[in-house]
Amino acid sequence: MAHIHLEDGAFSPLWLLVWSAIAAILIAIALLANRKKEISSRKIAIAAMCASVGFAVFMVEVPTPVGPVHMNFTPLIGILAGPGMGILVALVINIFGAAIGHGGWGMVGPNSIVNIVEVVIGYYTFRFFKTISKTGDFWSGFSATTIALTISAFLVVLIVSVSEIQGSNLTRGETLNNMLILAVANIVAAVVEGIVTGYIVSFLGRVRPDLLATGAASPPDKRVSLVTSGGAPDG
Amino acid sequence: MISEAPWARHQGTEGAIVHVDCVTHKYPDGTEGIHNMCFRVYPREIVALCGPNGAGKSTLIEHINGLMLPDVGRVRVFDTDIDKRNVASIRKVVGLVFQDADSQLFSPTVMDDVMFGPLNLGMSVEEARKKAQWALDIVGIKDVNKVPHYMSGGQKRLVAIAGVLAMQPKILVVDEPTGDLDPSNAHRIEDLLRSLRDEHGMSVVIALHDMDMAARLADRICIVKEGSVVAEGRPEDVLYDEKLLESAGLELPAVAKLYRDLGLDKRGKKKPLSLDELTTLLAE
Amino acid sequence: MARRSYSRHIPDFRYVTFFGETGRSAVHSMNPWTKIGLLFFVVALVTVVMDLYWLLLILALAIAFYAAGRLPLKVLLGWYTLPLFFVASLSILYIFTEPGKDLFRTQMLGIDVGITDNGVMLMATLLVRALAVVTFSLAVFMTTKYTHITIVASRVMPGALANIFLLSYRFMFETSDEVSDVLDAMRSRGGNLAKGALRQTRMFAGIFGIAFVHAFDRAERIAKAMEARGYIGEFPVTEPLRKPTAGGYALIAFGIASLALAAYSRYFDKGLFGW
Repeated sequence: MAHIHLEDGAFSPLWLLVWSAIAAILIAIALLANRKKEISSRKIAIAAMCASVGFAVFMVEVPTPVGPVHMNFTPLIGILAGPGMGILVALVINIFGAAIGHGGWGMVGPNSIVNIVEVVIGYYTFRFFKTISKTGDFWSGFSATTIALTISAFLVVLIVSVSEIQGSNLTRGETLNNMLILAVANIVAAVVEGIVTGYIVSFLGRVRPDLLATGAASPPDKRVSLVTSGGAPDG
Repeated sequence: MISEAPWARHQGTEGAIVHVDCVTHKYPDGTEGIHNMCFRVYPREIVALCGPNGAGKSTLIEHINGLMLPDVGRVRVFDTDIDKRNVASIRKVVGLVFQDADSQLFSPTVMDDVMFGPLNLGMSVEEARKKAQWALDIVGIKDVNKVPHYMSGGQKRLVAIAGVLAMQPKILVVDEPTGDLDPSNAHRIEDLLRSLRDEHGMSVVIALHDMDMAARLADRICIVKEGSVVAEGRPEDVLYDEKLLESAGLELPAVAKLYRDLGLDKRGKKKPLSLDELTTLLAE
Repeated sequence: MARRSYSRHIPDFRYVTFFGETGRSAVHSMNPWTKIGLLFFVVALVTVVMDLYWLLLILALAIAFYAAGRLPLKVLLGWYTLPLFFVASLSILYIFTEPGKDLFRTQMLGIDVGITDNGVMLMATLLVRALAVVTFSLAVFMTTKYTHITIVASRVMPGALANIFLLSYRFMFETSDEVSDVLDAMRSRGGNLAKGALRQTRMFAGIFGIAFVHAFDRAERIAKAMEARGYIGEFPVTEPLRKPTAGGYALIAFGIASLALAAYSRYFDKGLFGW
């Protein structure tokens, strides 16, 4: 998962407000979109557990030749929870992260924009590969993750280049050059996370195929669910 | 007397407060959870649903609470057929405690969690708090501000039961009431279930495969096998029928084995349902 | 006490909550709203203040606040790893590219490479800002009861978001324990000595996959339990949370004044503090 990889104070107050406002608008859209549909207890529980496990597995150190790495699996969360709920999950994970120093509190806004892009692109790309292109689970998961994280890597470049690092005297062009070098590293990380996500998706496809994007939308069984967002039950 | 038909001819449905009437339920993948299931609950009784894993016990109890609706047949609670429109009111009278206590405690504190149900019923915060405190007093939990994660398994189970009791149901359904508990906590739960029947006039349905507990606790036993009730009757009849239990993938309770092995069955002695009763019998 | 933590470099929520639930100090007694308010001011100050010496002062105050909560300082140093890594991984480039006086210059593979004073200052400034917020944020969470955090979250966040946050926070402990158990089982069978990147990847993918499957299974159970108890869209958080005391309001007022002064100094009167 791409992160801006900057902590608080890196952006000027103005740009922080701008990115936070954009993030707030995107999240408000997700909240409104979810209000219009019935938010079942199942969806809330799935979103919450995705946030929990997304954060729990992030804390796992995966040993690699270059040292331990941590992964967030935002595209996978998009695949499993869907784009609407996935956006809220990404925000919750960012809030937990900010609490423990993984990205600043002020960076929750810009980081959420990046993660929202990962969630949405991850979900729709996966659906494309699975349902239209009929690709297998591993390659669908790998492709969706790699594409989503590559696009978000360039989005990070854009956001940081536009905002510039406060206190730096580099021009926007010079900042862009620096960020492009970082983007290369992020794209390598994207491929690694793509491989891991591909394996996870193929595992899920064998064990719980109903969880993957093409099946997760349908509620299990004929469970009667009365819950609407803030509404009272019938009867 | 054991009835081996899918319904108990000797009792009928009169007076039943829950009547699962020949219900069949199919999962989306085509497997049948329950098939032609017939089951009743009467006032002020503890009825045990005994069967191995996958027999259909959990599917049945989720129908009683309206979490699932039947594909064939009907479920009646207090003479009302359960359908989509009235599940909310059904859940006011049928409380369901699941096997995994952890997954039922989703609020920050014990008190918040037990108040969850009453608040959902539309009670004010003060009313809900009173009901919650009443329920917590019944189950014997004192530390109401504790974070559920820091509680023991037994405490979590008791809080889960309190969370349902606070809604003051007339029927309490409990799935594996003492599954992973130590003996001390298991006995505490057993005593609680007895007191709910005796002092609070509730009917209790317990789904379990612990035949010893079923023997000690239940007024009536229903054997569930492959999605149907294959036999039901009094504990001393059902739980001493070795062939029946074996065919259902169950074992004789320890007290019945001892009764048989000590040759007490040949002496025509009354069948005990607990080791205490067996001890008394031997002392006579 | 948390049964285990599986990273020395990332604060474990179980560990953090343990201190919040069991700690006793003046900081623990502070009103949660006051602490959240102060956290906001620390974030705002490190964003507005440009001067490294003032930022060092903010960092020092944050560490003092952390220490006043009787929280473990040695552990804090390990937890600095991630923010240090994040800042360094980006700003390392600025050391070489930021215009300024050369501190060091050499030729590497035919390319002229040098470290400048402004580059080093920039990196230092970014690091100090990061550590100040991380320290204060951890201090707030490690001195505030879990219940109070949930109350603040439920009051501040909109409906569905609050519900997701509350539920995920509640089950973070169980999820983390499950992942820990699987990792322990893996290690007990020599799993961390897996040979080959592909085999290692498959192994961890299996672990993460199982974690997600268990999470979904748990979500199903939770959803059933919610529905069985008539869930109507809200999780009640009914414990009252009192307003800040006079002292709390004074601290917040101090925060407002500091921020206003810092903003004025930055945007209107750069010579205000005579630096």
